[in-house]
Amino acid sequence: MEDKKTNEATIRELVTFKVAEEEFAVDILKVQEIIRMIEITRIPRTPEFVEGVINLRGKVIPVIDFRKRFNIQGKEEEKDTRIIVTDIGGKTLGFIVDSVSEVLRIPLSSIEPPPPVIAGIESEYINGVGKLDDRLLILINLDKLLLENEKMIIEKN
Amino acid sequence: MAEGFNSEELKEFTKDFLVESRELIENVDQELVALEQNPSDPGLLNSIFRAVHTIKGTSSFIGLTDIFEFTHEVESILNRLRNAEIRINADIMDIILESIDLIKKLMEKIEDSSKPAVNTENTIKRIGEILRKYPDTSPSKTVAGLKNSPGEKTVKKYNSRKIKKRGVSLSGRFTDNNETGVQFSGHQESIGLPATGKYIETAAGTTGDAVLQINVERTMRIEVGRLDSLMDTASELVLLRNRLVQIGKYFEENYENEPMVKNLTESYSSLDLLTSGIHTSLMKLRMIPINKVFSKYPRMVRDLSRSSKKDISLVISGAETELDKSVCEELNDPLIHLIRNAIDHGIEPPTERKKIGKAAGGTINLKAYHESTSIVIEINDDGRGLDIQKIKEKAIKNKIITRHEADNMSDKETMSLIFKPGFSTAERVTGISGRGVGMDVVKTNIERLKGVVEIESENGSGTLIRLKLPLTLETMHALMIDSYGRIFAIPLTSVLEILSLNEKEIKTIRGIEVINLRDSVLPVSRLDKIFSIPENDKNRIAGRVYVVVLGIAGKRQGIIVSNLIGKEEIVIKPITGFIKNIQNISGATIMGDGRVAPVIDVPGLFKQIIE
Repeated sequence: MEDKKTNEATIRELVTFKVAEEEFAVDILKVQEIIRMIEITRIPRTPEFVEGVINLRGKVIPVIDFRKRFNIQGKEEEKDTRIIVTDIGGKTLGFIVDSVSEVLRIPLSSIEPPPPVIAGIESEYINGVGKLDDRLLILINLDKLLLENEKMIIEKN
Repeated sequence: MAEGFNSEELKEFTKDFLVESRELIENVDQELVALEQNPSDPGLLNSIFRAVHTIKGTSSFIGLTDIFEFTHEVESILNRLRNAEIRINADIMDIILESIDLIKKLMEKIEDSSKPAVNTENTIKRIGEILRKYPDTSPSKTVAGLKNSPGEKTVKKYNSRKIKKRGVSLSGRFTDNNETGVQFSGHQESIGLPATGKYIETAAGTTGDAVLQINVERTMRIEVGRLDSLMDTASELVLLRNRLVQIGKYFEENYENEPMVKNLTESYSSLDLLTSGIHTSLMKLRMIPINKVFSKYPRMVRDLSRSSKKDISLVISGAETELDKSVCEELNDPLIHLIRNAIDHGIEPPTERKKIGKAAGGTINLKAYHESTSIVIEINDDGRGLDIQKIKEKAIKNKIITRHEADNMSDKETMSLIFKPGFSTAERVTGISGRGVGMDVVKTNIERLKGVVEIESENGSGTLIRLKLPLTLETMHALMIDSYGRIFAIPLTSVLEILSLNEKEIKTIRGIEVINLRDSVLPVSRLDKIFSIPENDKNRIAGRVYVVVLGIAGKRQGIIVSNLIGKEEIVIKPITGFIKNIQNISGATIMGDGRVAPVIDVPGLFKQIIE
């Protein structure tokens, strides 16, 4: 019992994905599901990075393009392209990534605070950097991302 | 305290008590107003007595001593009235109305303990004075029986006590029934159903326990949240059905001779029917009569006409008209405002009315009826009506329009000025209305419900305000249009007409595109420009465009689209997640093929075009 508790406190489970050549990760608890690309309907008067909305089993869910959001030159849509559907405090949001890699468990001790800018992304959107063997995982702060997106949409209207 | 319950049970009972009692009190309010017209109507007196009695009984059962003790006092005066020992007069009416308001306050206090303590002492004292003033000549068994058993609080005793009293009080009416039958009829009334002979017959001859079961079977309270989630599932079922039908059609066309295809066709046809059936039944579950809100107004009109020293009667018709519960609830505030306006600004004081040859008493007609898939509510007063010149002056003074604009305004356009924010024609601010936040709030609320407000008025002879709303917010009829390959839904309530015309027929006047529509000039806007949709050749017929003429609050505007798809009954889904506050888009709908189409918010669109 005691062991398990310490484990939970010191281990984080992450979903990792690739955009361009970088590897990113989000907390698995915030990921609802991962789906293949489906038809996206554009919504007027939304910022460029808002790709539109999708029909996810009868629910209308907004989708943003991770690449456009952070101005990363990603790949064109191909067979590995996925939409990661996240649930942040009851709000559902999908974002398009080049490919989804795996689910990882990494010890908290190997997560370091973020450098000011990494891969063109400001540190405020990054929770930390996970170091694993020779890999570098950028941990995305979804809550912050969501908050800023809302602000940008309200400004646009 | 109530014995024998744990705190969970007690909480549950209290919740039920509050819901039920609130309904009872609402009915009593209405009945009291009716009683003023017919002071000796035994049906009304009995019904009011029974409602207060039920509240008293239940409050003692769950240990709400304050309410129990107070309703007991109120009941004693009602009982005298009911037994024709005293006759109703202004004194008595006032004290009863005051008591009913106090009961409401007591219930609010239970719900929210932070509310100030309710002082019933004064009222109890005055009830006592009235009872002494009109001495009791023949003490009724009911009161006596109650005084003998004030402490009984167990379920069994409570029931038998209540039944016994009902047996006594109503024996004159239902001589053949046993006590339980009578109780049943009382309960039916308490939930707003008529206590018809049929119900009483059903219950007659059964035991007390069986009666309870029948009640549960006939009506059942369901938490709205559960109904909503069932509705969501059913909506998804509708969408799935639509897809399945499309797939079925494909097989039908391509594998006509396959024996299984025939089975498939049969299955999806049945599924189609069943799904529609489920959806319709569910919609009906959510429908309630508009009386739910209308019933609050007779009392309000009575109080307001007293305080404004005017003689006003409210005539309600079509109270049984049904509409979706959520629409119904949202209607209360706008209606209160419109009625208050009619009382305060519309109807003249009696002396003024007499001077111009009108009857001293004014009338407000409140009417509801169905019109295709909408519900229409009319508030019509026979007061002074709208003064076009006064509205113009006021609007100029409040800088809503310029004098030049005022000179060129039609009467209809002028009337719609009263819906502008910051407009109020009241020369003085009164407690009833006229704080300048009135009509624009009404309009905003109605538009949020995808409804429209119309106004008709003739100076000197009254004002008619017409609200037209969809029956339900779950589904709506929409016109599906195409703008350069993007599909949008436009609520059909705002669509006046659709024109097909040649691109050349669009003219430009002072930089604004217009068309000539039956000898009047109609401004038009291109949807692709409004929504910044890139031009392309998708779904376009060269040189030909469609103009959808939209209208709200007396204003018309044409919208140019590249193609029409057709009329559809759509389910509006909120865009979940972070996209909200998008001007012009009120939600999205999922089409038969599974694709998503944004739903256009017409008032928002108008606003943007004007800007």
